[in-house]
Amino acid sequence: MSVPSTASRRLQKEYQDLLKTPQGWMSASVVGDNLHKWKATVIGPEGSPFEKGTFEIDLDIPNDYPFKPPALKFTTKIYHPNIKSDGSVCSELLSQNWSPQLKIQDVLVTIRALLTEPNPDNPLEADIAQQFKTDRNAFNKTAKEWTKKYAK
Amino acid sequence: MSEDEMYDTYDGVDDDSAEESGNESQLDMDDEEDMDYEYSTQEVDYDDIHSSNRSNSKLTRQRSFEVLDKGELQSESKKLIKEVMDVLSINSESAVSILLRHLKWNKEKLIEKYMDNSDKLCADAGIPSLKLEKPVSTTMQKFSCLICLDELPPSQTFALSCDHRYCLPCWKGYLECKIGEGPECILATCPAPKCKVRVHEEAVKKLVETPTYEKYANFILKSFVDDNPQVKWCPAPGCIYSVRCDRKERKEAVTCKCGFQYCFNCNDFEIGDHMPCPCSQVDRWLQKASDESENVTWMLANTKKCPECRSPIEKNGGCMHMTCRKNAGGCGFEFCWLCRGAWSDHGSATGGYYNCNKYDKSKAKEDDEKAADAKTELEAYMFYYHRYESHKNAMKIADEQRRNAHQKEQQILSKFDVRSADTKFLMEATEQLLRNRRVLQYSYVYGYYLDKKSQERNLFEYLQEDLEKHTNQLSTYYELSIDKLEDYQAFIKWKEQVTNYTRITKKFLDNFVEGVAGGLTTQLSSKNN
Ligand SMILES: [Zn+2]
Ligand SMILES: [Zn+2]
Ligand SMILES: [Zn+2]
Ligand SMILES: [Zn+2]
Ligand SMILES: [Zn+2]
Ligand SMILES: [Zn+2]
Repeated sequence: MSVPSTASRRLQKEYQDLLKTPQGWMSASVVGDNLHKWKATVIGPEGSPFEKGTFEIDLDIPNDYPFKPPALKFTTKIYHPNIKSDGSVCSELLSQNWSPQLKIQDVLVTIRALLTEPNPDNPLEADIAQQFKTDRNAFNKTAKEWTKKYAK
Repeated sequence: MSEDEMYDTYDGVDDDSAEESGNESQLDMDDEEDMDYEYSTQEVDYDDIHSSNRSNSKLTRQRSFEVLDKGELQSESKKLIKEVMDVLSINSESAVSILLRHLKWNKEKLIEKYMDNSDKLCADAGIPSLKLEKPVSTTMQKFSCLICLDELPPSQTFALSCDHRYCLPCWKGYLECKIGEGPECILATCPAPKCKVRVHEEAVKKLVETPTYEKYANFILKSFVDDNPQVKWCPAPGCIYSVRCDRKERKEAVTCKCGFQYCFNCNDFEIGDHMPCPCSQVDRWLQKASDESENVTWMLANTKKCPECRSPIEKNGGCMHMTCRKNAGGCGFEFCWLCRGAWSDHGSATGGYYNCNKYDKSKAKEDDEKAADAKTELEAYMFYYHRYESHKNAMKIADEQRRNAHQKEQQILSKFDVRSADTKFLMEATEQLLRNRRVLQYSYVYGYYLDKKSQERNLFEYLQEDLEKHTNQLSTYYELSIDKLEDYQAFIKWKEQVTNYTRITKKFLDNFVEGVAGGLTTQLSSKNN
């Protein structure tokens, strides 16, 4: 099978690119010497209730990557309608809209965009989505509190 | 009954000539006979002389269904694609395949939509250009693949009409992954983000290895069957064939090459062939059976059973003193019909033989009252339900017997000095039993919905009774243990009995089927002579 080697070669390249051109808003590293397990951190975008928070994300990359998308999980607690209390994320990009052309960095860009702009119509946490829609101030307040408390 | 509703034989050889020559094609013949309920009624004689007209007329008849194996299914779908290619002057088979799948293999709809607005249809189907692939530009020097991030010679790349170009190994990996995910792979699109251009069959063939391509091609065939109302998979478990039937409201059963005979519309293994009922009646019946199942269970558990051993009790006359008869398989318990208590507790003090004053306080009364409302209608229904069920079970037994017929055959061959051709009657008998049981089973559904006081009902029940009586007789003869046959003479006698009853019940089956098909009015006189 040539698929696992495609995955390793591509992950190797992606990782080197990231090391070469570090991004201010995120960082990522391979866990141990297993190219299929990454740890990434994303800084909460400005103007969002997640601003200044540092969110840790675990990435699990399947053997047939990039033909199948990585699975990701927030390990930092976050108050967000599209992120479940166990840290799993709901995003079309990571399911039916996945394209093998997309990279880990693209995934993290999308996640960051989701922090700026939650999608309450396709929620994993219905109560938070409801609050986001009907009482934005209360949502922002709790999200900020959580960011302060957990995402240091 | 019109000509096209009947079927021809495969080769026009009359089954009796086959019998005489000892030819082993009997099984095929039986298959064929399974199908021809209608004209087999010509065969009313018990003797072996058949008119040659019968085989001749069969040759001219058209079958209105077709059993398809994988190869035939393939050529069916190819034929359809070719037809569309001709009509619309499209020269890409792959493109037409995508368009057909987009419209669930509906040729007419495709032609209409294409004529109306071909650009829109093609775009919706995921082939904005009928030139499905984009060749490599001659000026391209170097190529860097956006999936593997490797640099490759442009000759090792491929792009669909959208010109999203990737290297061949990446295409292969991508398609293998999609095909591995299952039947949805036939809707796979170009790997570029948000690109909706569909991958076509020719490209898959080119980009992946043969076994993977064959998997993909099978999924296309599967969609051909699943999306096509004229073609359905045979519902028998594990069967690989599919059946095409052009007539929508076909009433007669179709027979698959696996031997299973069933209604094409219902396409259900449990229902099978439900002659003489129309599909709608079977629907109603099954719905009723599920609605009533609780009541029926209750009735079965609580009435007409010996309170001691639960064996069924027939109540005759008005006397309350019941005995569970030992010679009918019961336990001998004597009890009161009303309160279900032991008869030893009864006597003049409890009201004598025709009454029971214990009844008013008994649980039995409570139970009876609960049942009383539903009882009258339910009892009528249960009469039919019971018989429906018992023929259904008898059919399962007959099916078992058919599968074990060769054991019986071996027993006979080892006990008597006979040729294997002399045991063929066993198979014929079980086949006939199966047919009869199946028709009898559904005849009770038909009977339940028949107007209770109609003229038709009389004839129906008359024919049904004949069929039932003789079928039971055939079962009895058939089930005779070989051990009971003392000598060759006894075997021959038994063989004649079974053979004869096979023929007789065939005649009664034909009469019955013909009677129902003829509206149960015209046949009475001919039946009586
Ligand atoms: Zn590539
Ligand atoms: Zn494309
Ligand atoms: Zn079959
Ligand atoms: Zn049906
Ligand atoms: Zn008893
Ligand atoms: Zn009593």
